[in-house]
Amino acid sequence: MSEGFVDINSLEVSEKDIINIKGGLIGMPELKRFILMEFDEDSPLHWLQSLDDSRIGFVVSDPSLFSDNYTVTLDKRVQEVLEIGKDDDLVVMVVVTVKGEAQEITGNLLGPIVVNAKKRIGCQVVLEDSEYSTEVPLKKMVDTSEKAQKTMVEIMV
Amino acid sequence: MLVLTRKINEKIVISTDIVVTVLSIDRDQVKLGIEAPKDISVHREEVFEEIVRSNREAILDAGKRGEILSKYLRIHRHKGN
Repeated sequence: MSEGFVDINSLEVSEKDIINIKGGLIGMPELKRFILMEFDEDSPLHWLQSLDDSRIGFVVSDPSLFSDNYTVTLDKRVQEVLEIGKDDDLVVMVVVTVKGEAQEITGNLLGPIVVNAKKRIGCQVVLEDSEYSTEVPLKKMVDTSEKAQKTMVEIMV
Repeated sequence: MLVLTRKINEKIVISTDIVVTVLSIDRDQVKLGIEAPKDISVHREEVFEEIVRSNREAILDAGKRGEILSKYLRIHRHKGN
């Protein structure tokens, strides 16, 4: 096992567990193959673990922890990259940073990761014309019963 | 750096399949149209840099906790599969 981190060699990873991030993460094109791991069934936080580099993994979450009515617009290029078909489910994940002594939690709402769950293809999308930032603080109250938190994915035509 | 002078509606071709068109010029703002294959992503530089910085920060920071977290983690299986 490499120093610390998740021991990816000991995991029983099957092909359909792997999420292929097309083009890799932004600025890290070599990081393409990931698996989504969970802390516990009900946790809104997940762990996205690189299979290309065991030292690389990070926390991702549902966008509703950071924003109500978060809207992700997918342009034609991203739609093609994700090979979106009629019955495909799209999952939107926000990269989470936990900073400093205060353990301040922020989410990158400007560059979410969108995954075609059925085809296991993902892409880190840049919401170029949005007002979202890479450091949106955690909402004060997390009320999971609130339906207004729904994340919208818009398909640009 | 290669420097080319272009007028409105004139284009620059990069390699064989990337085409940049000058769409309009208004004082100090230039509007460009970019056509590129789907595996080429195009971003405003400052937005791109900000996301790279944020990705690095999330990873570096998470690395410190990875070992502790790893024992609580298991593979998430998509329900639809």
